[in-house]
Amino acid sequence: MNTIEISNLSKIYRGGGARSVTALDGLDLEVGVGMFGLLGPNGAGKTTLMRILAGIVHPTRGSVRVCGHLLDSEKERLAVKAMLGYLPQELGIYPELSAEQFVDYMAVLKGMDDPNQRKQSVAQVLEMVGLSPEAGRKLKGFSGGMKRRVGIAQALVNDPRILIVDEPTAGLDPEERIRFRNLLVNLASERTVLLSTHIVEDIGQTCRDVAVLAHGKLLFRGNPAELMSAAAGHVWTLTTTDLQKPDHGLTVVSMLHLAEGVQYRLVGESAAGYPAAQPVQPGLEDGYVWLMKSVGHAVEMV
Amino acid sequence: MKRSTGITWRYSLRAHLAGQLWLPAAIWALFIFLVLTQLDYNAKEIAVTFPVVVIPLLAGITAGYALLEDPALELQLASPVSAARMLLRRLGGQLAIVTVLVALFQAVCTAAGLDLSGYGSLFMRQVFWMVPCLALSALGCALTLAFSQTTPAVLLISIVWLLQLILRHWIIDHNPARYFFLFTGLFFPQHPAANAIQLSLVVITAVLFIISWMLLQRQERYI
Repeated sequence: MNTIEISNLSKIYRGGGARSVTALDGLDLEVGVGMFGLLGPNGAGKTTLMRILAGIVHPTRGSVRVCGHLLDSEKERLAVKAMLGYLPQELGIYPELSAEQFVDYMAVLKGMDDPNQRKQSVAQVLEMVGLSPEAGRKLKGFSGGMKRRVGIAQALVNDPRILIVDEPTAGLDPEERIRFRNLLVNLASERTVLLSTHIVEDIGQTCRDVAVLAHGKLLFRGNPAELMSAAAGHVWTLTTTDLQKPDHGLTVVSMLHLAEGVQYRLVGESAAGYPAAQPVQPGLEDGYVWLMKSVGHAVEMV
Repeated sequence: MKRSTGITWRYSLRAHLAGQLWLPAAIWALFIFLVLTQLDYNAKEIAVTFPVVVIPLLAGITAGYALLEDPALELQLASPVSAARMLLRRLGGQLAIVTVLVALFQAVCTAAGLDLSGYGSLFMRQVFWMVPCLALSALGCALTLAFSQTTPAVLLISIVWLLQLILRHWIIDHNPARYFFLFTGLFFPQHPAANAIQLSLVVITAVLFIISWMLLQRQERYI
């Protein structure tokens, strides 16, 4: 069953005349329970979509239905907000509040009026994100990673049916990222988790369903394996001592300095210009790059 | 009243209102000092100036800051709180603070033996500060939301306040300008139109709050 149904959704930010920006352009999307990944370059419309689903931004055209509620009035938006957990890309905090107070404050705003239930929920989510020992500390002393964990705790405190997280692993160290991804996967067993990110690896490790957006349009919808397989026959490695970076319409996805030269990982239509190039199995990042290239979006990786 | 109202208020105070207390508190202390040191001179005038002239300006400025100057604004907007309730919560806090300040100020003036009956009855003296205070708060909200920024709104409020002070004689002598006059309680408390002016300000305040409520529903403008 779909928890989110998006039909012909467009959003235009009007800045007057030529300054209007189309953030979303006729988007159709359906999302069910589980982890759903949203990939795309900067300016693809991911954050706008997240904000529309969170009831903050109003669509210019089209319809959005979340858990049966059509987001076309304040009453419906409030109903959706009450069952939502939202972690924005730029998380603002109150530095003078402790982690426990901040999460409790957000719980109150989400309509959790029973103090005992709230206390229990706050303790539970702080435990989930590993912040119980720091619960009483003021947020002004927290590191970036700890603040993100407070952000996810506040998003979870009302046991939301839908969790929307925008770039949640930005600024986290590798250990925290893994912990965070595992937490999201656990949460997705019984709810919809919408994960927007630039980090392709995060999607590959967690999502069974992916959408790729660019310039407000849906470029791909499917599972990570399909995105990867689309790049089959278009990915090579090339080891060379030549100082010139490979070109011929190929995108350098990564480069590695080895004893025998520099090893490039290349994605493109053909590597005929480089006879020494070896075809390799594509990864998710290759699939993403190939998709972008194949629809004409410039991808400059290295 | 919901059980959570008290805790919301306490968190609001700690999270984003506390920083805005210093300016009103400092000016309050200054006026207390002035009243107590000028008892043999113009203490009465000073005692009325604080609530009728100074408090409305402070309320207008702090109302502007209370709405959008919030580090966690996006989270606040994503919470299931209606625009009307958000407006009420934010401004309720501000107005509660200025009400406490004025009540304490008036208590000190009474204890100092000042007779302010020349500025109207006790009830009218409350109306004379509360109505302009609400009017400039509403203007502060509406302008802040219209500009989606606090600074130009605060600038405009200050200009309105200053022009009303400087042009007070012209304003009170002319129709319909007099019905926008904020400081009747200090300069013209016995004016025959004093009550009508307060009534007119209440209507303007209501209109400005309705505009603010409508603007606050367009949340995307503020993130």
